[in-house]
Amino acid sequence: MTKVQAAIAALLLCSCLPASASGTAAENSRAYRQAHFDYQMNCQGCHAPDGAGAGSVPRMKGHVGVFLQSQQGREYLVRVPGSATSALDDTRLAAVLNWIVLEFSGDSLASDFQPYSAAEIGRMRQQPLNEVDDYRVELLRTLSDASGRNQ
Amino acid sequence: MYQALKRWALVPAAGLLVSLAPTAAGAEDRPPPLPIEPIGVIETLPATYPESWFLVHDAAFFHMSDGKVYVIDSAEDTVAEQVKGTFNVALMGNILHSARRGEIYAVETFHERGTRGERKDYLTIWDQQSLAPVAEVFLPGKKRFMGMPSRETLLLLNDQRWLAIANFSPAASVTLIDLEKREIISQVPTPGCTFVYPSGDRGFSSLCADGRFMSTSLERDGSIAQQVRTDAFFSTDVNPIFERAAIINDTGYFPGFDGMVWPVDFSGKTAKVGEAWHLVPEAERAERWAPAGIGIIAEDDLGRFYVLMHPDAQDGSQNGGGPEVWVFDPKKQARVARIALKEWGLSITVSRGKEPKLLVTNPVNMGMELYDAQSGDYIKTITDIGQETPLMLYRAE
Amino acid sequence: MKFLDRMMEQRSRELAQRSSRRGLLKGLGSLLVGSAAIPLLPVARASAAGNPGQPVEEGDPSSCDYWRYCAIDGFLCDCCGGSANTCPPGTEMSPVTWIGTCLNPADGRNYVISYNDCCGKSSCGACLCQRDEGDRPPYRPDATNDINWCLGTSSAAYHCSTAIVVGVALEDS
Repeated sequence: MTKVQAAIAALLLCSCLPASASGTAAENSRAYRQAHFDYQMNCQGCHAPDGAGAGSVPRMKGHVGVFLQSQQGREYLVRVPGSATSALDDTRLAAVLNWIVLEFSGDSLASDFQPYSAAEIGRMRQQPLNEVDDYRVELLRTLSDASGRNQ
Repeated sequence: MYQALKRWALVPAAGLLVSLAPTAAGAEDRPPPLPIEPIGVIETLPATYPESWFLVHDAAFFHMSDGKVYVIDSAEDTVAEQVKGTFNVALMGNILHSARRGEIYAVETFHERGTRGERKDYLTIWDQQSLAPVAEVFLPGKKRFMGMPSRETLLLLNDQRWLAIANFSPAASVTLIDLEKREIISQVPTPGCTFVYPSGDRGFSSLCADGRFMSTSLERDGSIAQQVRTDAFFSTDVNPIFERAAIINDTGYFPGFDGMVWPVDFSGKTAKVGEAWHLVPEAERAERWAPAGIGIIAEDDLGRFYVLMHPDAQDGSQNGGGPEVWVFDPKKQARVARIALKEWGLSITVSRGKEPKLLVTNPVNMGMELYDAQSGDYIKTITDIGQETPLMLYRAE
Repeated sequence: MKFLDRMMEQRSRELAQRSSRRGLLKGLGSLLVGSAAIPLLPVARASAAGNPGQPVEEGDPSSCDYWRYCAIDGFLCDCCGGSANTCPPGTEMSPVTWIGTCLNPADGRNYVISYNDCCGKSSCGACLCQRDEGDRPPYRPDATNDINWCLGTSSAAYHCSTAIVVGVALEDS
């Protein structure tokens, strides 16, 4: 496990498992592998192993972190149908979303990222987005206006 | 084979004519000559297809850009009389027949150079009498649902004035077509939810990855009035249902992998899921009967539905077909007949009318067996019509 | 017809394994006999007995029975000029696909398998297999083999299917 993976694993653990502020190396490793496995089984088919996407599938690699700049964007990542309607329970969905954000964001993620919690996921996923494309375009425009850079 | 036999039969007769002609006494002793035949006559089909007719969708699994639909009359006994005509459906397309409109709708895909070059998707409208394409609507986005043949990707709605076409790109959506104007009305996103089932007069429902329906109702102009997700009623991991349903009087019957069946009321704007009941009588459950196949389910005009069943069901056996068709009365929630098939079955359909016939594709030689749907009696096998992989069967509407 | 050979090979093996209803085998005829004669060839991987410390897998990548094809539905690229994890020359591998897990009996592990389709030419025509373990209808697109996965490729023409090992599954998830 690399340092980056260990750091991600620590974050995954503290965000998703109650009362385990800092896991052991074994727990960290397990959490990381679980999140990666859940990504592979539920997301990778369309989003590609490295989050690059393909065709009409949006690119997450080097980009997904921008959504965390606003509350609306934070909710977007949960309310997109691939997340909200996935077969994963709230805890594992939180873990896989945190894994995606930490693994794929690159420098698109601000340093103050607060990992998703299961309870937060449970609330947000109750309202899956219907008009995803329009919502996404509008969201990125707003984020772009706010940050003054082109998203 | 049949044609070859006919040709051979002519040979001795022709030889006879040649040998006798020179010795014949005179031209006046011979029968009158055959009438002169016009060139260029093309057959047409009736405005209403008889009840005994079926549409056989041969997806041409070995050369998919050349998929084909055979219009056949199951009441006839020879190939020459069974085949009424054909039309093409390219690259794993799907079809839907509207007798009221006298048209058959086919959604298909072409590449500019056969298997390469730019991809273009079309709705092709076939006239059911001429079996000629009378119009086409270009479907932009290269996104129409393409997969194993399915009855759930096309739906007539709004009193058959509109056609809904399911898309998967992998984003899920529906393209709405105005069949009067033969143009696109709107594109409706259905995120996470696939296929089109009827819902009310002007709407449709789709099945979602998290085990619920999403019901879309539409305004008069085709824009979205509302989209409602029902409560989840099954686990797509643990007890998945088939996407294939029988629809009788606005109620859909969705069999599950586990042998349960879910009635779904589609009469209103939002799908209402009822209580599931078991397709398998309690005494037989140890034999682990469950639905399996491609076209696994069909309904008749007597209010009954038919399911292709196999014993010893296990993970992975759900698409393999089965040796029996079970007939159910949904009002009684009971099996009313059990038809042991002559050959293993892969897809089924049932003809319309008061004397329904059951047609079954068998994967053994890709022929089709016809049964009396009420007595269960085997009637005949229809084969050698040129079919290769008739994976989906439709009754003539 | 090869389609039938393969389809029947699969069907008849399943039946032979799990059904005592001999009547079901009626009609499968000589195909059943034929399939029983197909030997299972070892793949190039080292065998477990011979090389301890080496990864192992066994079986014939051109047979529907091969362990990693547990949910494959289509023509095996191994019979089309490709292999279990590569596309035939001149085709295009779809980047969009679906993912499942299969048990490798040689080492007792479940692996994550990516079933990428090879696209841009018409059906390969050889080695048609249908196995559906863990397969779900297309409303679960992440777990379905009933969709033409030639999505995200320049051509939607389906040619054959691969089964690529992309990870080891977690034991108890």
